[in-house]
Amino acid sequence: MIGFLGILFLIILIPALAAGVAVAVYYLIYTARINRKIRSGDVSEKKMAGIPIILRIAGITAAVLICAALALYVWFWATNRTWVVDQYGRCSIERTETVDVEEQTNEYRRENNYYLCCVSGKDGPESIGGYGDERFSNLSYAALFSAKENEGYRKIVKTDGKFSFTVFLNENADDDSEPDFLCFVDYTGEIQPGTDVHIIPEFVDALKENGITDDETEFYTVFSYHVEPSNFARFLCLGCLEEGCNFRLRIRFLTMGEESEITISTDA
Amino acid sequence: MFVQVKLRLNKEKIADMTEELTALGIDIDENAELILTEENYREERLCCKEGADTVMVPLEDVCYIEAVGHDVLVHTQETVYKTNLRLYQLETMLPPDRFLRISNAVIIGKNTIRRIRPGLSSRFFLTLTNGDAVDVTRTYYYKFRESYGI
Repeated sequence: MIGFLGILFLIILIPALAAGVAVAVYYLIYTARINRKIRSGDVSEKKMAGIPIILRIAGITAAVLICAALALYVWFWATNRTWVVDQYGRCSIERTETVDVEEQTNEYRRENNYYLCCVSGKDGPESIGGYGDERFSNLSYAALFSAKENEGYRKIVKTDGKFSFTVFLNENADDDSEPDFLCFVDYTGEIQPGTDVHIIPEFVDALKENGITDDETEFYTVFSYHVEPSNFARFLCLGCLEEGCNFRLRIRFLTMGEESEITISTDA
Repeated sequence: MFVQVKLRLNKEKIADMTEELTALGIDIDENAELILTEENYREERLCCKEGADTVMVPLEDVCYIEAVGHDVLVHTQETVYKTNLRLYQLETMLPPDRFLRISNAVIIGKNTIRRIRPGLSSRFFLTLTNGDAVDVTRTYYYKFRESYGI
């Protein structure tokens, strides 16, 4: 796979080469024609443009093409996303390429963390909050994950009334450079204007869930978020789990009086 | 007083002028020191030197004329002559429909071009019928193109 420099080289080389070939072909045609005119003495044929002006035109055209190609490539490289309209008519950001894991550091230690964002149809992901390692707090990172499919992740869908939870679990247990889990939360009901949402993510000791230990205090934060029908698509929560921990996510749409929850375990 | 005159007139006027001058008692002689020259007179021959000899070279034999240093050389198919005339004098003397200046130092016969090769800047490289190569410079580029319609 050619890298960034290789693509840059091609962007410059191809238009320059095309311009050079065009000038060379014109030069041969022009030379043949003027020699034919000299031999025949016939000046009635229309004059062709001279070589200097053709060189100028070719040079300017190649420069414009190179600039346009460079601008397009930089824009594509910087944004690297496409918008997809889902079945409810709402937009989301679909992942367009795999995150380059070589850029990740090796200093990451696996410990509980999560990061929340709201994906809107207009402006892209908006940060809500997080806990623990801020590795995944970069919204452009979050924007690379898809609600439909993610390479290296196992997909589980749970529907509870009007709530739909699409969970992705990392199949590589030793992967320290990508989140252990992703959870997209969709709400299929009618969102009323000025809806307040409470999002309550928390880590739950799996042993405590099974009633084996009871000296751990559950710790959770309530995130308040305001959505409007025009701009809400879905919530995304992603993060990592320590061994023996589960992650529980509760969502409450206060205005409509509806709530649901999901528990994520990497052992699922 | 016996007057002798050398005529430098275009062909169509020579006969009439000779008759008139003779009627006035003026003798027409090629060796005369007095010269009567028409304003738009065009030489059909060039007075050149080949070594110590003086040669009258017909214009149709001239491939090109070149100024080299202080000398002006007249190139034909096979020989090179010298002339005492300056290039700017020759440019006015020679018929413009048959000769064209292509640079500060060269005048070519218009029907002596064998091959043209265009340059990448505003130049042409000419190969003449006698095998010599001369260049059309930037200053004369457009005039050359107009002249040949290329």
